[in-house]
Amino acid sequence: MSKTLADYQLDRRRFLYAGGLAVATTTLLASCSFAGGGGGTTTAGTFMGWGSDTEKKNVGAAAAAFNKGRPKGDQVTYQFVANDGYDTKINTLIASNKIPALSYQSEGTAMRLGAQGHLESVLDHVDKYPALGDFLPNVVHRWAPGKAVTQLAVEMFMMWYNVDALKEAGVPTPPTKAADAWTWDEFVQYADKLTFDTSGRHPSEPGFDSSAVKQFGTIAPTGWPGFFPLLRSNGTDIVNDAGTQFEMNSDAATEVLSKIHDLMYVHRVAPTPTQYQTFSSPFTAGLLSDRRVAMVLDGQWNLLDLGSMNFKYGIGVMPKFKEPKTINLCNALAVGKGGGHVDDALELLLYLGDPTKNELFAKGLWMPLQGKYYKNQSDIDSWVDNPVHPAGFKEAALDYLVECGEPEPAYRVKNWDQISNLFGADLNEYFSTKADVSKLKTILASTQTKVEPLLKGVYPDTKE
Amino acid sequence: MERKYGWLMAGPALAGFVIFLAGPMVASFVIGMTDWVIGAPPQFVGLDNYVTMFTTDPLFWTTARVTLYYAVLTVPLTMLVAFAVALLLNQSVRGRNAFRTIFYLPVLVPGVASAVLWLWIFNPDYGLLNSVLKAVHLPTSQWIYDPATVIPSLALMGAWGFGNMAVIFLAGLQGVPRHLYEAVEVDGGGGWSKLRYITIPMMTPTILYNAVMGLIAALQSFNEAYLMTKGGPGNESLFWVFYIYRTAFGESRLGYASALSWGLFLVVAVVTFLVFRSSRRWVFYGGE
Repeated sequence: MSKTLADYQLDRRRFLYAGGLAVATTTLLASCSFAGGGGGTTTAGTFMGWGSDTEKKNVGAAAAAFNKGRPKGDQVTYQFVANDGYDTKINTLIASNKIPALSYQSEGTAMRLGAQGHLESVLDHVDKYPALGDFLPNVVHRWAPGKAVTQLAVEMFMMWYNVDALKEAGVPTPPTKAADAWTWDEFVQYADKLTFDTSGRHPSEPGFDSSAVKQFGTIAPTGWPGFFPLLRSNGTDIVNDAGTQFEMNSDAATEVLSKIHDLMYVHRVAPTPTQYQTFSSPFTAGLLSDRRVAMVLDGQWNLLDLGSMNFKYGIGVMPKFKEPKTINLCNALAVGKGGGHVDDALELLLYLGDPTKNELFAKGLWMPLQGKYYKNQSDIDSWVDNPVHPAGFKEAALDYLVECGEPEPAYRVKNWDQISNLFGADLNEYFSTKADVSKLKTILASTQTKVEPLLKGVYPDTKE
Repeated sequence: MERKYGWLMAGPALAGFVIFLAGPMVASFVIGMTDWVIGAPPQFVGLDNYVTMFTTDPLFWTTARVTLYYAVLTVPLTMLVAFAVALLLNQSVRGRNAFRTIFYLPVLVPGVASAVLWLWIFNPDYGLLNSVLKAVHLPTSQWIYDPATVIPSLALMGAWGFGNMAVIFLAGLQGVPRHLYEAVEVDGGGGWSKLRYITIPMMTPTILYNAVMGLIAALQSFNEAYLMTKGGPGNESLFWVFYIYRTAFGESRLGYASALSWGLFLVVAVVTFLVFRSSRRWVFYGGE
């Protein structure tokens, strides 16, 4: 029987009903997934992390060794996720209430998840795992009084240099004791000696060709982990103690930022961001070994690459403005709440942090969390006494960190991700072109108006 | 029976449309009415996100300006290149098919590979563009590393993928009736007259189609910011979709990111509407 127009109209109506119903169902399902809120369940025994290939290999090996001999139900499966997709993946998991038993988390996310009730506080387990009680005070970050997450490891900033480059230029060996730290002017003066163009002229000499530099003295620390210790050294900060005021518009901060800018555009001892883009190997270890740069202010994690290279490198403390300062930084290693794997996760957390079981400490990527590895000689030797760690490492890293290490602001300041995106982009603009201090002040005044409405105070962080 | 099969055959497409398009769109509209930060229970906030977007969000107007600036530069540029190439490819020359393939090739290069290639082309020190400029003693540029030139540079890169538009123009050109050109010839008109009075008017529907599709694609640009500039220098290449992505997955603010998505949807709709509206004045359909 042939169909009439009425049949089609009915079909269309039915179709619309069916479509509407399906849309409503999908919407409901999608909406339900985020209605759960705090206190989610845990994916059974998953340990999620990012990192380089070396980190992946070593962490994977440590996790495999940890699982050896453990009953199946107490094992933890290592899942590697590339850096770029990590935030997307973890956000999706959390949105569906599936937080891994143990996971790397960026600082801001870790504190937020803790405050939202998704994380197990390590402080609740100190009685059962006394090693947690020996963690350095600056690596335990409280999202609320008595509730905290720990760092994955300790990482810090220092000065790296090519020994031969300094020797040839007649530049004294950078100090390894914080008390002897170079002043900023000394640092600039030595950087000038270490910078030369293809004709061998230094930036302070007439005829220097900044477009044909053979070796730069240094790299300008334009990212916040690099300039934060210098701000602290000059008695200022990114955000004030209460987390209510943007401090980078202060005279002390503009002094630091403009002097970093001067390294590139006035003293010409550091490549501009565009020149930096042109380096074939833009990593500290490669820059130093190729002698494209003689001294770099960068993290201790560079040891991992430097240790496998065939040239003489050395370390010293960072230059100072007033007080010598460095930064203690590292992402969090967070234990997910619920899911029945809290003990397994905590045991793995301690296992990964044990230099006798995890090679990443001896290889130089990480520094330990427990205080004993900074105090007792035999414990110090367990991870420092090897050819990778250069002479003076104890003074220029361990003592320097304990005496002058400032905890990174990313844990303390609420809304950090949003705030750092804002000031980061504005400073990126300032550092990318030639500009004077008045331009910097204009930029920072505008940054301040953007950032301050987003400042929502601080977490207790390292304060008990 | 026929009816049943009809539904069965249309089913997958309809299910796909509902599950992957209509459903998520409605869901994102609902989520956009909340303050949902991933991990916390969402609160209904009505239109607050939209108010924030237009009043206090320090980056919203920047991202809107940057995205529109890019679209306004890259679409006409790409269309111009595509139209010129299509005109050339429409001539009867030897190896025409080979040329057509070669010009279409950039479209087949995956986005990531194309981004890596262009990072090299734009490199101020050893990149292709500055090397050529230096060789002919012309001033060089910082390309994507300078706030002032980043968008024009990316627009230039966008124009490289003109292949799709060129193919559509070519199809349009082949549909222009020969007898119209013959009429111009009879009247003593040359190549310019043919282009001005026959080709361009007859091609206006194709130009409209390419303009609309090009604008929609340009307003949704993401790869360039994600892979090449991270939205910088400063925020001068903070494309709208990249900002949505960063808000959702970098800052976990899914509620606000959903509202931003609807903001973009509305802008795309308005821009498309305006182009269609204006088309009454300049698009010529053969039968009219």
